[in-house]
Amino acid sequence: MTKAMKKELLKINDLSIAYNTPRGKLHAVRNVNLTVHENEVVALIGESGCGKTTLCLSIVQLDEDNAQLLNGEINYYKDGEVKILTQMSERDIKIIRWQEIALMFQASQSVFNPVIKIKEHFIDTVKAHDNGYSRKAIIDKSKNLLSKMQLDADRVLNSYAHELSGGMKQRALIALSFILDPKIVIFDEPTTALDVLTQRKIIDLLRLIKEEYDFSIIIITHDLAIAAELADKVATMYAGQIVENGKTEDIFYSPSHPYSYGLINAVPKLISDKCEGDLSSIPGSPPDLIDIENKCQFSPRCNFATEECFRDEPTISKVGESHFVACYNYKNVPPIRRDN
Amino acid sequence: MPSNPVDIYVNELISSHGISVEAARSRASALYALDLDMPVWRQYISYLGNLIQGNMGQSIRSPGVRVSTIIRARLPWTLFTVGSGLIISTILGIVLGTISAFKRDKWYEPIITGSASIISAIPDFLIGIFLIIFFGIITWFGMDRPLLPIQSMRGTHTMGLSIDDGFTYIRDIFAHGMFPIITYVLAQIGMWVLLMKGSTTSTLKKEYVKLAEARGLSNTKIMSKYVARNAFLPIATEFAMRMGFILGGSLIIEQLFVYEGLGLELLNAVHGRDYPVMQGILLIITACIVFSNLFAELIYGALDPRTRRGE
Repeated sequence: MTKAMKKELLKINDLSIAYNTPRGKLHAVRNVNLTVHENEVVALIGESGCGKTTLCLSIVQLDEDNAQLLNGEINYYKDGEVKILTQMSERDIKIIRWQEIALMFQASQSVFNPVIKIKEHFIDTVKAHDNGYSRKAIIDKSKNLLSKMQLDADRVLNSYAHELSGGMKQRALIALSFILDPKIVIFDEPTTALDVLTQRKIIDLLRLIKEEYDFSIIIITHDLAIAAELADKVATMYAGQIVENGKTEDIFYSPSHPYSYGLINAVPKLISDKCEGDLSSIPGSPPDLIDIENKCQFSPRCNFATEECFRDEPTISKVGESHFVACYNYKNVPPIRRDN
Repeated sequence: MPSNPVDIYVNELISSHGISVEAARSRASALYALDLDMPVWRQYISYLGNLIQGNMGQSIRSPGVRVSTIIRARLPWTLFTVGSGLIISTILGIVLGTISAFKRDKWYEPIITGSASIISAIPDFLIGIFLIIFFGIITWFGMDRPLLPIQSMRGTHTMGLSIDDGFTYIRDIFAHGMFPIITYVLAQIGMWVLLMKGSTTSTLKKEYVKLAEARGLSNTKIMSKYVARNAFLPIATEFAMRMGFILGGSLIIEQLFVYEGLGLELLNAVHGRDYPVMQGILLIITACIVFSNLFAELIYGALDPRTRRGE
């Protein structure tokens, strides 16, 4: 099946979200457009504070109290019907949460209630959405999922969170996210705070489970290796905007935005004949999102910037088939060297 | 022993009655049931031996009355007032603290938190004195006497009444215990409000509460199983620890309201250098603190699985 034939599942239209702070409005997400198709893995990459998490929280309407929707909407398609998530009542969105869209937070190490057993989390989740299941049916299903995540299901279910290791908690959480067969699972930094071997294992398990079930993934990460391995599509975020959006191979081998180029180049290469000394990095720091000037936000840090970049914010250009970029000089960005 | 009451008594006999040292000592030891010729360590061992059998000796000031009898007579009153004060202040504090944690954007939240901070900074004896002044001394505008007849509210109950009088008696002990109880409540409630508010607020920010929301759990479920159970942990410990100070904390308040409980008895024993009574009461207070600490540990183990031993 080609990608063009896939049905749209989630569509974010021109979404802008600001936080009300004592200093003024902080524009965390600015005019974001993003589409997630069925069975697709979308990776959101970018540095800390670029709005990735705010964007994902808004999908399930779990933003902080001081967040404010400025414009745009998020549409979710189910059985040919459109549900506008940004306009849903608290009662309706509760049904969507976890059953349709499961959002896993970054700090997976403290997402389990310390005073109740892991199995209670599974039971509570299912009962919140469908009271018809017996405890035993829920436990059986949880066991099945936990064994898929290569965990000793009985032990994990009867443990408290503090009795599990970091990697076990992360895997238990992934199992928990599939308990209601959601259509979209959002992983916010699924591998931070884990060692490299555990990261590897999590990625392998995610792939395995991806082959078995039909669902889409939105994965937030600053680990580009994970994005490269899992994602079909990559969206680069900078200063609250999606500055580049395209197929994984397009982004990784022929990035069109200087920021994507910088990010990919900043990954240290282990296998290299000649040691080139310094690691490459992107000089400078992201802009203040409270006073936004009308210019390309990346221009002060950009090697390719021209006069134009400081005058006006660039609009989206189409680079190739489903490859979009917000840059005036995208033609000047060189492809990534394939060293090995 | 500093200003040994036996020595004082012996000297008094010698100087005022002109009897010999030996005679005076034998009279003193007969009176105090002490064998003064025994070495101190043997006296101490015999005290411990008696203690194990529940015999804490006899009062020096009122010879012939056993210390245990005195404690038995005074203990219930202190337990009644300080205990009610603790329970009432904890319940009110939990309720107000939870309200102020959830309604942080309401106009009354700063009022609750602010008055809690102020009142928790006032020492309990000052609260007691204020109560006496406001209700028992000042004749408010347009009245011919103070709000409450504070003179007749002294003591633990009206003379002559007993448990057989039923409801009248219960109303009477509450009327007499009212001032100490209110003082204990006011002295502690601020601390409970602040503790509960802080604990609930910090629990609300926890990742597991946020994830429970992301999982679509109902608000009632989140509040009871995810927030309340965790927010209650420090409250339970604090409550158990405070139980230990129930008896010790009553010293000044009971004197202020002339409430004949254990604290006032201890104070009188100190004034009269009544060592056996002092020792007996201090022993009870110590035991109370030790046991409530133990209780706190047990409670914590029951509520928080992280403190349990691994199976």
